[in-house]
Amino acid sequence: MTTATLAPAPPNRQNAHLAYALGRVAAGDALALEDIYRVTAPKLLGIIQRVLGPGADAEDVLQDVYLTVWRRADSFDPARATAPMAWMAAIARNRAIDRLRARQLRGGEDLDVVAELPDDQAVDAFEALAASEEGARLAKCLDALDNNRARSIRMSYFGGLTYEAVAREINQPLGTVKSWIRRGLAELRACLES
Amino acid sequence: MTLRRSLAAPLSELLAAELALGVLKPASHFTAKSRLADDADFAAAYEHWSLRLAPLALVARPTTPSRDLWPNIRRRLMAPIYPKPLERWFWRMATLALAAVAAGLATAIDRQFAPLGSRFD
Repeated sequence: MTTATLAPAPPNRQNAHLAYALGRVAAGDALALEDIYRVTAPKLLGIIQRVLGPGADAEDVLQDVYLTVWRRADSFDPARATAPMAWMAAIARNRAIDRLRARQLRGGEDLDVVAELPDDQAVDAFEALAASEEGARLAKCLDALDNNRARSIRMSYFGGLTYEAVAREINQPLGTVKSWIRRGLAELRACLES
Repeated sequence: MTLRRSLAAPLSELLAAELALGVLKPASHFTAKSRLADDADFAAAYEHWSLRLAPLALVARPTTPSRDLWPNIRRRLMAPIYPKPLERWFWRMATLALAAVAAGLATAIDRQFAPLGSRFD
């Protein structure tokens, strides 16, 4: 494949670089944070925009994410198996969900609004998921779930949907969707820890 | 303790998973979030679930942020409400030193009153 030469640094090398930079951030090095920003900001903004859509809100959340990384870099433990990129992705996604729910709480947002997941992105998603070791395991465990359970979990995660929104989206009773997702999560955990 | 934990764990573990997935209604979402501050086990479960699901976030397509975003972040970093980690380290060390002095003092006082207490030595 000719695209291989254009591919970004392999996840392992990128993660090693990020883990080192996070260590420097923990020691108060703002240049190291800038380094991390250059490497990770487009990806993190992509994560945030998938939940919030494009706009000033998404960039505002992105700023918060780097301020959080600055404050909490010392809680990143490279000795644990967590990849720095996954650690930052989790912060970004959690912040985006917080912002979305805050918007909804203020009533400024229609709860029915559903972030679109275009088909081509879904295909990309599958390949990209299999690219890292953790992603491949998660993909395998999601595939092992009953289709309704896996689909509801994916929908909720990708679109930032509540139980209620998933139920509306796929036209199923709320109780059914809750039980799909809860059982799915329990099975997912068992599979990931096996 | 063990019994209480084994009974309580599944419910809070489920709530942590729901919070990380993001399926809770806005009000329940923030009620659950407020629990993170004073329930370390719950916070750990939430972080664990967030990391378990993170590979799903990583498949998002990258988008280039506006050019003034980094300068904005840098400006906010320099604001006094965000002490540098090193400064926090300094204060932590200072606090520890103070605690050590206090402990030393306490021991000294303790020694003095040792004959009155039920000490093993």
